[in-house]
Amino acid sequence: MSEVYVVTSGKGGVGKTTSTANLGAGLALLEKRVVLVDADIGLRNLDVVMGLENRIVFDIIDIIQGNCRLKQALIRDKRYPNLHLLPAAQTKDKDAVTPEQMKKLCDELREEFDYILIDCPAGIEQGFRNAIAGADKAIVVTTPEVSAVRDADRIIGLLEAAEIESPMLLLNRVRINMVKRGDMMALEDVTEILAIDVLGVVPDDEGIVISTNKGEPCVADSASFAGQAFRDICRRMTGENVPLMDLDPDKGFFAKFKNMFRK
Amino acid sequence: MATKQIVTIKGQNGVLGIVLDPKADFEDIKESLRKKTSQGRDFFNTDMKIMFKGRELDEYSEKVLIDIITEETDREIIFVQDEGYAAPPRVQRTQEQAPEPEPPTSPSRLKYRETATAYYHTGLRSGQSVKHKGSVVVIGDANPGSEIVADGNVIVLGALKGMAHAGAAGDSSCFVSALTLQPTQLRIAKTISYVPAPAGERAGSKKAGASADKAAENPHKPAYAYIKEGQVFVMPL
Repeated sequence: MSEVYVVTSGKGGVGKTTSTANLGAGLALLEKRVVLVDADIGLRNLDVVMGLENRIVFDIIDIIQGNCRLKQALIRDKRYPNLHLLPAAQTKDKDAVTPEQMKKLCDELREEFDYILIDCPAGIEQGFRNAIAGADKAIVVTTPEVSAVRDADRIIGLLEAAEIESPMLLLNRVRINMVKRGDMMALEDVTEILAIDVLGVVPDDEGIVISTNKGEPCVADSASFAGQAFRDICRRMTGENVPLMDLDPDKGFFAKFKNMFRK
Repeated sequence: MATKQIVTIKGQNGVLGIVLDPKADFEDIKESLRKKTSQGRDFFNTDMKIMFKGRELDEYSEKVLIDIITEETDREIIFVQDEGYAAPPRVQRTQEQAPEPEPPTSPSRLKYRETATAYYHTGLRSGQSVKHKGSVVVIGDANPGSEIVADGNVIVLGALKGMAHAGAAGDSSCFVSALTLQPTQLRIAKTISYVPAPAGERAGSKKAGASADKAAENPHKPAYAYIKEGQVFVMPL
């Protein structure tokens, strides 16, 4: 019983790719068979964030055009059990793929994997339509900013029109101190507008920038606050009932210590 | 059918004048209108404003004739105009048809036909737009970035935070009502306005410091917006 998730947002720069990488790695750590599909053809990033750029030989376009077999294009991430990446092509653009081809590709991947995570490009054009074509479920990533929430709302509308079952919200880059001061939208403000189920809240974390640059998803870092949030989200995706983490930094530090002791 | 035409159709100023023989039997008129409209299908290439002339029609027979037109042409009738409204007599005189009583300065009045109200049982999200010839009722929120355009009234059973246009075809007696009336923009007929947001809050968002004095904010009450003397007024319900 495999599930195809599309990770999407509408607006660019809210953390789709980073979230995809972390969720993929996190699910792999839970011993699921996972493949990450980069649908951002022409602007591929997922391989960079995963630190797998130098291992690309074939890409998604090669598979679709029949230049190689599916297995040949899949890059296995050696750091995790059963995590694979299907990279996007950098020299083509979004029009090189049709939604039907994407759908077929997803169906082929279903046979091999438990979780297929598709990293959707920003925007609502061809690339978006390709990315959602084969998906059963959607994770809508947004940051607590008016513009990002507005775009997320639009995306949810489009997902509903495409009959993708109940999209889930991943609220990224929350700065709890700003929320406390009333300078940033709180989760409640966002859900009031978007009215969808919450998959998780990820705190703003400088560590993310570092881990992204290094090509090591922070989900594996037990000391990382954001990593903890992603680990919780992964467990929720597998059907576990995990309460939303408390983002309060004081309690957060405490939790961090607790984590260290648990190790 | 008789050699004399019982039904003549002519367009002027974007209004289709449908001239009916005052003496003919109503059944014949129906028959003739059906023929005319089905022949002239291509002529009815857009949604129409129409005007019946030459004959007094009661509500029922008017509806029967309109139904015939919509059936035969697959087009919507936007308005049924009262005779004498916005119809320059000179143009009419050049046509050859039946006697047309023309009081040129009768008060302009558009008769809005409240035929159908569209109900939307899901809220509207950004980028979604609803257009309807009648009134629109949305059960749920209309989020920022959404659009409701109705020739009739707009009622939102939820928070209205997008754009709402009531009386889009010009009827300024239409209104907009919502449980929370916070549209980004509010239009009634040709008047455009916006409902001033409570201090520190923008439609669908929180500005800096908004949460701090949350308690001091007014709870959003159901409200009703209408036009009076060319201005939009908002009244709490």
